Amino acid sequence: MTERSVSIHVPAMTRVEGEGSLRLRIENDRIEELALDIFEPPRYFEKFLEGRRYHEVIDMVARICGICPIAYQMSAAQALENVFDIQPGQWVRDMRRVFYCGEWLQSHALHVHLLAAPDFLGFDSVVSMAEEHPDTVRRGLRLQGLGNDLIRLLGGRSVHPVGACVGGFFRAPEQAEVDRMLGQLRSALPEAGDLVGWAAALPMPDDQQAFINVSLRHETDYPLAEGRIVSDDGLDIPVNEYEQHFAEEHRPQSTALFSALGGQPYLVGPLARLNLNMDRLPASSLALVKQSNISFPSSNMFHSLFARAVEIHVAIVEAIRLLEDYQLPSSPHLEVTPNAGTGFGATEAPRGLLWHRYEVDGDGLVKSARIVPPTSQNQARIEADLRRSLVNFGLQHPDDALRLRAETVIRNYDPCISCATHFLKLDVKRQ
Amino acid sequence: MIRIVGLGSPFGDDRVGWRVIELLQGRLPQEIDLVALDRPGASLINWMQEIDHLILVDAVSSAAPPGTLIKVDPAQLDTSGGRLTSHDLALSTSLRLAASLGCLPARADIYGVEIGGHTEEGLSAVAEAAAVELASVIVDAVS
Repeated sequence: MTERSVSIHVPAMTRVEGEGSLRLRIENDRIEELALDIFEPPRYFEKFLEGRRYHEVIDMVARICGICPIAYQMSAAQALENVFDIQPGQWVRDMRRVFYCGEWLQSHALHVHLLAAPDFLGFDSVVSMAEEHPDTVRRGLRLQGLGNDLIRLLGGRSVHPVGACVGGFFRAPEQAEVDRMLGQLRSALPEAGDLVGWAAALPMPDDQQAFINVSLRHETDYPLAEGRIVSDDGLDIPVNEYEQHFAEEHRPQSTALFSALGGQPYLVGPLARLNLNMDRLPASSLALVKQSNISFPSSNMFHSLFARAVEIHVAIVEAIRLLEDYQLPSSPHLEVTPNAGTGFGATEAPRGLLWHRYEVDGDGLVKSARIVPPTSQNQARIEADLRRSLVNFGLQHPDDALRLRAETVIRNYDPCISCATHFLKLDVKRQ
Repeated sequence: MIRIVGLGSPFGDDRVGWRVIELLQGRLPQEIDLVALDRPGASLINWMQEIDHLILVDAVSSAAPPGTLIKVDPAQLDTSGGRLTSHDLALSTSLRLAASLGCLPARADIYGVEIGGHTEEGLSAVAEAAAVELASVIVDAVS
């Protein structure tokens, strides 16, 4: 038998964030080694936070990620409020949900239209796709812009917003600003409904896989800024018990940590949220899912794109609902008196569950911090998915075809490798 | 309609694009739209609608000395390194995407200010002087 060793280097994988590579060794048509290597230098954010005053945390953690700063701010605010035993009132909770809807909207709109769609419509990038599908790309840009406007309403600006604080917001928007935003949201809603139908009709590989879904679950609403942590194999715990059930481990190839639930990989993100929370969808979003030919819960990972489309609709419906009842509060935030203690927070970032823990001393200085981002939780699941998907696809395919399929699988998770610690260098060795 | 967009971030001399927009306030006919954007990525394309002349001002990093003014023809931008990620859309990629969508304004000019390594709060004296000079260049160009 002839022996062939092929090594492909793609210096930067496109359409995902961060830097990583995939090592793949195939012997006798079997995968002998598959490892997602992440070599972005670890980000010592947890250490940076030590010794900082509690109120500095919200602006610092926003810098971990350029696309989901609100997620980091909201998980941190919740955890610090848990330390100080304060419960923000309904106005703050509602406006945090609206703020968060803006982040889901811009993040999902960008991923669905500009990053993932070319994989399913057969283009190498959105630039070539735009010539044949200009309306699709324009819709993505409009929805992304709407998300940014919603973020600006409460955050002051859309990149690393500065409006949030422990206890609430620094400023409450005026009624006229809210009315303008409501007008924009209402006129975008039909387009978001069309998007769900468009996503359902995209040609998707039929790849059924068994995996554990993990997300927040709220008493009445689709999970966003609060809830208990649940899974589809019976887990139902308050946020403060996360560390008793989930373990993180270092692996030599990666500067990110791999997470496991009971020793098993698990999925967080849009598909896991939808699989676990169909009964929490707003009625109009649920009707759109029922009109599609896709049934949930789904074990086809490629339905993540459909789940993102549904969540774009949810974000607009929820923002409208909450802003329709808008009233100026007497104060946009609670006063905070720091005390010593430990607190926990978890919210649903666009990419999935984002968990924080802070230990604070009596002067309000951070003694220790722990941040578990969604991409590191998904890392073991991505590896398991790759192994399966590449075998199903057929290992006899040429390297370029294997690489495209691997990239499609990885992109489907919309991983943010920078948050978890740039992409895809594929190293294939065949024997 | 002409729109002048200053691109930047709050970090050191990277804000020079915003400073040029500040310096242009009140010095141009009212119908010229002035906008300062913070790393807009793909949403820059939303600012190209319904205009026929776009002027972009951004900090650049090349081998030139700090403070050097550069005028770039969009067609000359190197597209090979333009990355498209969830967090970052290179200016060259945004312009190519706009061209594919047919929404690139009839005329687009890019002015760059060479910046050095100044990342402290506020602009360096060199970047400030370059911003003042570039504002005058733009006033002359559109008047």
